[in-house]
Amino acid sequence: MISGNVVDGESGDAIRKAVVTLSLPGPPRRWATTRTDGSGRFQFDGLPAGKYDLRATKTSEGTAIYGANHLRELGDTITLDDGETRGNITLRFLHSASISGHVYDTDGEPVADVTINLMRQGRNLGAPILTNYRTASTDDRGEYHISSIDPGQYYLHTTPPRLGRFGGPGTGGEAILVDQFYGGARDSKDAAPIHIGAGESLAGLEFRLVSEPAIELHGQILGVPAESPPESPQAESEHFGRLTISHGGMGGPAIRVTITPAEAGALNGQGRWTHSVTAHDPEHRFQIPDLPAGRYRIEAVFEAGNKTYGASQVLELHANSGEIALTLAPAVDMAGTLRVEGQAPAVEGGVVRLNGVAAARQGGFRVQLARPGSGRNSVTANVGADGKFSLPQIVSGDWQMSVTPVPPGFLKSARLGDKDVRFSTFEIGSNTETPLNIVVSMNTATVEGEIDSEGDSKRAGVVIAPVGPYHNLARYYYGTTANDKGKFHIGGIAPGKYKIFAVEKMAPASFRTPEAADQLDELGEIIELAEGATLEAHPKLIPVDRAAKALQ
Amino acid sequence: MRTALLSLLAISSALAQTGKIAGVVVESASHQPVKKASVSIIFLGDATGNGPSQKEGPHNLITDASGAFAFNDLSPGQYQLIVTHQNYPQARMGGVHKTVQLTAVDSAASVTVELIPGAAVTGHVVDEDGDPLTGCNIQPHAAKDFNQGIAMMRNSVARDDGSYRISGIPPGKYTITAQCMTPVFQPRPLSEGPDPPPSAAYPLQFYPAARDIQSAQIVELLPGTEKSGVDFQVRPAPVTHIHGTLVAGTADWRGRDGLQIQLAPLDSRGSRSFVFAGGARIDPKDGTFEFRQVFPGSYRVEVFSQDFSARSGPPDASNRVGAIARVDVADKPIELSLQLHRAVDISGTVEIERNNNVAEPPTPGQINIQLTSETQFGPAPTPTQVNDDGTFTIKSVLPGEWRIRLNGPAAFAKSVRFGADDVTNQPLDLTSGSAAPLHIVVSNNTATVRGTAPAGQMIIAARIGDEEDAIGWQQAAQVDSNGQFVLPFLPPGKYRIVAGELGGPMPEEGGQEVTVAEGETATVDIKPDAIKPDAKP
Repeated sequence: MISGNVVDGESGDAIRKAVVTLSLPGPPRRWATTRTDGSGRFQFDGLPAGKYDLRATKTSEGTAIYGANHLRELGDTITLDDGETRGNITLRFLHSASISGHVYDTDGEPVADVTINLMRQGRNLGAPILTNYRTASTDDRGEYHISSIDPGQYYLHTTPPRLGRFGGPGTGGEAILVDQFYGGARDSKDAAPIHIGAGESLAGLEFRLVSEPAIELHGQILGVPAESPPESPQAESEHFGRLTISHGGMGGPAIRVTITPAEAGALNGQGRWTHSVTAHDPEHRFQIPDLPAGRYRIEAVFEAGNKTYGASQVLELHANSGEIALTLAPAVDMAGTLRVEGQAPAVEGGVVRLNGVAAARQGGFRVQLARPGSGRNSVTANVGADGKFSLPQIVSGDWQMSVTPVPPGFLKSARLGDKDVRFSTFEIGSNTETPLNIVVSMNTATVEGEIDSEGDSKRAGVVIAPVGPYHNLARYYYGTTANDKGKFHIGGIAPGKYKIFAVEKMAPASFRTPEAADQLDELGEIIELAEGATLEAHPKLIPVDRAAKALQ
Repeated sequence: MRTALLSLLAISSALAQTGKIAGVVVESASHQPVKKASVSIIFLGDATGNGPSQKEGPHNLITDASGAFAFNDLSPGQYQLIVTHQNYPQARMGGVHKTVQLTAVDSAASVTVELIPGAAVTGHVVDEDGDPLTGCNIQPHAAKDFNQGIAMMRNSVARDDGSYRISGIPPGKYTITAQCMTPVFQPRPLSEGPDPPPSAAYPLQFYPAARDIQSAQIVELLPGTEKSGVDFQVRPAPVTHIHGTLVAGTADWRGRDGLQIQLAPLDSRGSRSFVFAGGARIDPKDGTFEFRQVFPGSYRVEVFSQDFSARSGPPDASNRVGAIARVDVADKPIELSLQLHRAVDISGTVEIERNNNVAEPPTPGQINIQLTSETQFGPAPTPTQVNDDGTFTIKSVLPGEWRIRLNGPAAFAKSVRFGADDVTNQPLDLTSGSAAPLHIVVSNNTATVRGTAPAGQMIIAARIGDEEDAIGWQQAAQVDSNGQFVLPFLPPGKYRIVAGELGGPMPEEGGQEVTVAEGETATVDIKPDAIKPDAKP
């Protein structure tokens, strides 16, 4: 029997109706749940001997991990003998944090329905980007609230309202309200991070909207193929996140021009603002009003039957930008091959499983091309049993490639001609004829062993971080938890040079990033992993306070 | 000679555009000026019937601190003003529209545009013990039409302390629902494998404590006000689950990609949007599916295939399959077997009724037949043109209940036979997946509603009557500059005639009810104060 209570980590008050989960890792994993009563007490009866993990959660309010004082820590296990009773187990409840604030316009008046995004640092192909963590909208008082926030470092961003109506610019055609980060920065690289601690309630995170001159972009599409079908009457649509307004003519193919902000080191593509306009016959000119100055990716796509023509360009838009010209080029069908080296892992019932999670459709791989920073307009191809695939009608411009499902295995090479396109943006033009040749290797490496430490408990998080050109690539960071005896095992690692870190009592997820690897750098040890090899390692245990200090 | 020249000059200056539309934007309740409202003006056309030219683009102004705006140098004609403002719900969603007439070259029109401030609702959600319940979605619904404007409607998720606040609601009458997706906790003994299906869940609740829309309280939200204390106490209700298998009827599910299955309440008029029982996955290995958390009640379960297409071609409807069945759920789990059928082609004939006292009847080739459904999730058949000889074939009709809608010049379906059954004004029942021939008698002995109304408005005739009958059928006409309107070619029946601003939303209430028989003309007089949607009693 195990019993105890859940109390607030700060005040010691009882936490009622928290769901308490007691689990035995197995395999197979077994677990039991109960709920704390009015006094915060819980009890589990009839338990066999074993080593248990104990946690408690209350949806959107917070979590408790037995033996941990911080969400990044690993908890303690409870060892129970047959028939043993352990009472008075206390779990310290760590509240999630919340923030609130207001959005004011240029005159200091509150603005309703403004989107607020709470964002976190992430990586896209090694480049730092910000990804959305939580979103909220201001109410009629201009006020917003965001809760259930885990402690960490965040960036707060607002997208002001864009009142688009048919026929007219948003606010009078001269100035428009622009996006900003908390603190006033326009670019993510200048944005001030906000540190949110466990259980904090940060209020007063206010935004004062700023306006900038609106620029109207004029452009012309060149190279429109002669046999294009007749133009439809003016059809204009605007996309704001997911809201689409369309009006004017229906049907009939047209040249669709899309513009998206393309900030360097930018926010990821989700929910960002794009504007589509149909270019009018016969000179194929278009106008896009109401753009703030900045860097954009502009793309034109024209579909004539089953042939696609496209153009893509990155442009710096400012008040003196003249008319731009986009020259359509025929889209290309990209052919390629995908070869697998080595033995694929066990396949259960047609589905490849990795850590119990289904990782693939039966048998096949998929190759995907996507525009950098945006999930839109991606093209996917299934790889056939003969290893061949074809990505149809790729519009010229810059692209990024990905292969799924990987893992299992690792992407050993991907070459377009003689260019390595695994981890970088690359260009495809209408004269790109070379095939895309991909090799996925299953000859991954394994690291296992025991942590070197003098203490009793060697429970620790183990992370290996790549050294060298892949240092910034999140996919090459691996982690696991060592057991009480300090034993650990990590498989499926791409061969290469790494640093291994074993941090006492710290969950691997909290230091499995390039930033953490840099901060802990001198505390780690170099290991080299060859294809298919198993390396035995005995990393020295890094005490939790030393690590916490380095990871400020 | 000189006099002639002077006269010429006088005429040409008279042709100069010196018309002016000026005015002020105010808040409707308080009449306080609204600053920073965006006012656009669009030229609709002049008295000689000239439409707007492409180059005559809209003009925009922002109201100043006194809410004022002025457009100068306008030529005579009809204009539309569109006012938008972020903080006012109707002004944010589509803009508030007002039509203004400039009759002479030097006319000055003065306009006041009222923006209606939104309302707010606040309250708390607690569970059966009185503890705050988080993760509940609170949503207002227009009392007249549950699903109307749901995409635009505000909603709110209750916060950590169970409190919620919804703002920016267009004033009106509403029912308010709380949908709590929070699972009802069920303790679990030490065991492996997934959690068993839940035995209780929080049902959808209508304020204050009703389970259905008929018993729901109607809450009136007044402009610019905040209604507090709209609290919910939600109690768990027993749920069960449905386990089913697809079996082959005239079509087999094996090897099909993209089959979808949906469970929806049978009376979906009140709750189409609540697919809480929602979708499930069909297991490609054995055709089984499971709905894990179903409240007692009557449902329809529907299976349909998506129309796949080549990358950018039209959808391919030739391979449609579907299944449909009614499921009555009590307190025990249900085992279900559903037969999958191919979509059927319905053939039929159209007969044009000859009426001596009516103008030339339409020819069969002018008639277009459309099958629609308020409740079907799967794709509808493509509208079909009738052949010149009066025959037609509606292709790829999925099992279900479909309504027939005729599109064609001044035509309506006078009677419909489906095989041996008379189904005039009733839905076509294709739930078993087989079709009989359809025979439609078409008449053009339509009715007309004419009358007077304020110039420049839109008049809308909306079909009313039996709940299931032709919901949403509407016809509109514009009132001319003399204040007259004509709504011709109406199928006989009962209508609500209402007037609204050109381009604006149709008023929810008011208007007049008119019943017209075949060939009849009714006259209606719409007075200006019948228009205002927020007219105070």
